[in-house]
Amino acid sequence: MKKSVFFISCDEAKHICDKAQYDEASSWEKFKLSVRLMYCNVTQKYYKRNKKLTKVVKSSNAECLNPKEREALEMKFKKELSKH
Amino acid sequence: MPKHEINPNKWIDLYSDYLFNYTISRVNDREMAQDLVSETFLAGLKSMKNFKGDASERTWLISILKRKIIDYYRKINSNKGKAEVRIGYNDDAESEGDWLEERVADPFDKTAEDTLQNAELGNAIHSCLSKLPQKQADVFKMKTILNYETEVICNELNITASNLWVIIHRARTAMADCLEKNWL
Repeated sequence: MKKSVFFISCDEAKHICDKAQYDEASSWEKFKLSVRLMYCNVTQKYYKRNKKLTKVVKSSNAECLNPKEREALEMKFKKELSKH
Repeated sequence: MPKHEINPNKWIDLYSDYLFNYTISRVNDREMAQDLVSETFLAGLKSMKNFKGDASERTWLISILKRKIIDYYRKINSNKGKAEVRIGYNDDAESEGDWLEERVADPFDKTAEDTLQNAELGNAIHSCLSKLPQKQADVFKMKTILNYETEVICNELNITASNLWVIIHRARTAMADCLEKNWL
């Protein structure tokens, strides 16, 4: 079956929706997503939930160690741990 | 028999981010937060014999960390004089009086309640992250919390971009499920 230019699958819509949360979806992808959002309940639900998750994580100001900081912490700890 | 067991080999993987998030929301200094987390783990190692297993490892480590944070603030307060000098007072004649305005509470600034709620939400996020498979948690943290570029994460973890998006999708679905149960 020929792939439609405007109509995308639910999985593709979810993938674009994920990318959009990180501003990595192109305008064309966003357009295709908005077409799908007009008629697909599953995509609408996923989109709403995904957006909410982004908002929650942003508003929490959650922090975590970056890989280098984590490695430094791990090295220091392992050194001590080996003495026990 | 104790309800909980202690295994320091897994502490870094399981609790370092949770403790770090807990600390940074209270001390607001990244380097200091790392030091306090490191000190907590080391103190935990030293007092492992005292772990009775009534509480979970995480709760036990948090109780050590809380004491470390209190000690940190005690230390700062003992240097209060120095801290006061650090307040930048501008004695430029033209901007005379501006300093008072700067010290008036900003209505758009966070309230104590907001800060507390954000700290709790941050803890809930880290609790949910600890339930994810390690790779999903790592990718989610790097992409969503540390805001790394896709390419950087792919290079760091040696995965392809399409792989990354599959992992992100799974992680986001699991995170939304977990947060809906525990927070939203």
